Amino acid sequence: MSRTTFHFICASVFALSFLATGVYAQSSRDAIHVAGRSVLFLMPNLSGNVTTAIIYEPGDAASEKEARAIARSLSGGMNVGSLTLQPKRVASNGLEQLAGAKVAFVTRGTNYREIASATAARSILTLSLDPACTRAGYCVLAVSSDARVQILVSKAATSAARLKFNSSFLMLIQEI
Amino acid sequence: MVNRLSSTMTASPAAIPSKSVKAGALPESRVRAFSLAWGSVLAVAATLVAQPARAQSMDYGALENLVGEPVTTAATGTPLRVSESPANMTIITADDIRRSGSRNIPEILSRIPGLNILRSSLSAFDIGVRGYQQPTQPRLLVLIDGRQVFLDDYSRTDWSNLPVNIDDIRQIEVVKGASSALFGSNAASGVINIVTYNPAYDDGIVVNTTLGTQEQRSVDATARLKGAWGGVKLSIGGLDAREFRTPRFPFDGNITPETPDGTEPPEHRYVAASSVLALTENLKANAEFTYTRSVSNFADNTDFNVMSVQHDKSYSLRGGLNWDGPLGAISASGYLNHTYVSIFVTGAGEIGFATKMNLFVGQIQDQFKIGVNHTVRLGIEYRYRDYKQYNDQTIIQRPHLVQNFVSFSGTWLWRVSDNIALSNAIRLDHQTMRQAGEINTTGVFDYEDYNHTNNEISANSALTYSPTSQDHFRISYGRGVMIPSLIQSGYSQIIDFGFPFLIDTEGNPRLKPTIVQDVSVDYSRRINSLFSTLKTSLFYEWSQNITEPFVFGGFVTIDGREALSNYAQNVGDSHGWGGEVQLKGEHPSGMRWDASYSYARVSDDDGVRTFLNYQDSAPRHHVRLLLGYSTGPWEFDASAHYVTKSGMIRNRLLSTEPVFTDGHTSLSGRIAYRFGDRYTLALSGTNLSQKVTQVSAFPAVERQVFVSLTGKF
Repeated sequence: MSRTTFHFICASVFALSFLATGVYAQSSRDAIHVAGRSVLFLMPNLSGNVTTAIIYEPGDAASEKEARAIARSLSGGMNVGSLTLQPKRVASNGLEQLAGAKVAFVTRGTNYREIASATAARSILTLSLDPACTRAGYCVLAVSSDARVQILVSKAATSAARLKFNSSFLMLIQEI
Repeated sequence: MVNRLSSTMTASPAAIPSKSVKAGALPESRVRAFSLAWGSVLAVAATLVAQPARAQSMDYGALENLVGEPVTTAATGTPLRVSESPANMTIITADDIRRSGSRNIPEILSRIPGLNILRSSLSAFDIGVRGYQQPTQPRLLVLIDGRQVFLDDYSRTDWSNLPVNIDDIRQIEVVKGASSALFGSNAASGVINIVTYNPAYDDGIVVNTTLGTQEQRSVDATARLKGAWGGVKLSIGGLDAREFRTPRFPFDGNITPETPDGTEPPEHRYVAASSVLALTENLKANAEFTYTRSVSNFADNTDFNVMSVQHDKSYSLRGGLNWDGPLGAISASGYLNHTYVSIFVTGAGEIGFATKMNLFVGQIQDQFKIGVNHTVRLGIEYRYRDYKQYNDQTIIQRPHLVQNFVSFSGTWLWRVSDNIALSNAIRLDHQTMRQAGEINTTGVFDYEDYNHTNNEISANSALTYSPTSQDHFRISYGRGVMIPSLIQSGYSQIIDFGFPFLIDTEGNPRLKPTIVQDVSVDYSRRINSLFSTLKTSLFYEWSQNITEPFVFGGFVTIDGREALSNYAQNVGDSHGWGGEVQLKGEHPSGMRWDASYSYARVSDDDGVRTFLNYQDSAPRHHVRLLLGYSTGPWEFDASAHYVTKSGMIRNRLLSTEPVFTDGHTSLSGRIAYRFGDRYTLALSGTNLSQKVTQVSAFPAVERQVFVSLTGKF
């Protein structure tokens, strides 16, 4: 190896080391937005304004906090492709307000089983940030995004809600 | 193309095949009937029901936005995140392409560890994979949106003649390793799939004009229009330049009064039109037409690696349907490529050469899931290709080689658990061929030699293990099949050069396909603290039955005259091993980097070393460093490459000793400024460190500097 080459490699390593000193933790991907984007892969496609329920447990601080965070992300309508998700807060003790909703975010602390029976009957796509809800077969889709985006879809919940996803989407994500 | 006088006069490593051996041969009538029947059925199926490959119907952008990283179908035929690919794959994104500052694809690909770029003129490139380099590179299959643009004449890609606008490329998918189980023959060492924007999902207009040294001027434009009904796209462009004025060997080029330095000015024109129609929500149809022509000065592997001038012209037509229904994603497609290549050689008693080729491919495939953990793809493909040759003949021959392939393929992806996946692919190719033209049968091969079949198996298997969401291990095996080129199988020329004997040059219909097998162990880790991804790879590869066109085959008697025969032969085996390590990342401040090192060492049998000399053909060591920074409307990018020495046999007629090129460093860079949302002005350059750089045993390359203006609307 010539001296020029040696210097070139050393300079490269030094440059990378320098860059590494200025690092800070990378912010995690917004799981709410990812969940929102997954609506695009429903078949038949939804379009226009889509009422998106945010189901929370009244009196449960964590659930209400999560609901507020979701509402903030969707405030004013979240545009995803040819559709706009319009948020609507729904208390878990008022599930009759789900009428007209096509999509629902299910927050932690709610009774997943009761919500699943109400949403499946209305063919509502349920989204959650808690994979346990999907693993248990209550929520259709869960998103986690700590290190990288992970999308989980429950085949049983999808079938119970009489929903269908685009096949490319199903091959890309993890189905259980 | 055998334009130069005489042959290599080198002892043959293989015996002349016996004309009496016709194992597996079918009567010509049966071959024709079989071909016609399959051709008819599948042509109808593919044209009326026809497909796009899955890549054509997929909304890459939506899937990419969803998972936050590039998505590909190239590894298994089904959509996958690139980090979970069961193949050694790299994706070059549209951002990477823009920041490279380059207007040609090989230069963009040079940033991938394990790929080696051989540049023999301003517009002629060959891309070698992991140490295997040669002019008219046959081991790397190249596709645009799933359509083969690899040319079957020599088995090579004419990079100067691709009907694609650089600014219309969404991503370039590069698979290293044998992949013919999925893509078919010639994906022996790897695949490059160029994915353009789909007009059904991405609209807009992009126009680029570039001016540069070497009198280079180019214009490229693409317009995409989408609606609820689907989308349409039109791309058009062209390039003119002058050739590098660097010293050439006396035997290089085609010296004519009009072109005293043996070159012609490089030129390229293309147009590509495509449409996607959403017939129903689940059913999409697509159609595409392309036309492209170019002039380039290239290194001719069949002509002892000397430089020639080629004029290439290609048309293609494609149609397809994709249906997402209860039986899975079913697609049917068909495309036809027609290519005309002429190599003008008019000086010093040399002879012009031209070929016409047709390639028709019809494919039907179904992708579906079984349960939640198994994804299966089943496919059937019919492939027709033929070759007609036009050049001077002392004894008139009009060869017309016809080959038919029927292939069955399947892939199976099994998610064994949350962090373990197993993928397997297999493909069976059944090939028939015949000589439909007029050849002299008193040479080495006669009509009966063409009437035979080949059955070949390609396979891939990979086990991936992801102990955490940031770590991925992969061990993979591939068996690739490289079918001999049309010239190697079907060339025929008998010429009197004034010697006491004729020169008889023939393709060899009895050539065995080259089999390439590899094993690779890969590890990648996302290092969040460095905003980077570390990728490492170790590989071992072995190739059997390597082919070489036109090796001395002894004297034969043709029409009562003695003739020196040359024909294509299997010349031996070769082995290679090596590894790559890469650290690539981007800091939120706008700084980005990509540092890599690759090593490849090849060892050839005597026959391979004598004719092809793979073991010296590519640099063993390659260090790359790319640095970039974006701030506001500014983008700054620079890259440096260092390679060690390499050697190429330049004119085997004169010597089988390689011409070595010393190790060297090359620098490239780009500075760009964006005006508002629409316009970007960029200054870029390649080979900036010296006015002239000897990058290979071919004529040296000059420094190039460009100014370009891009508008997006």
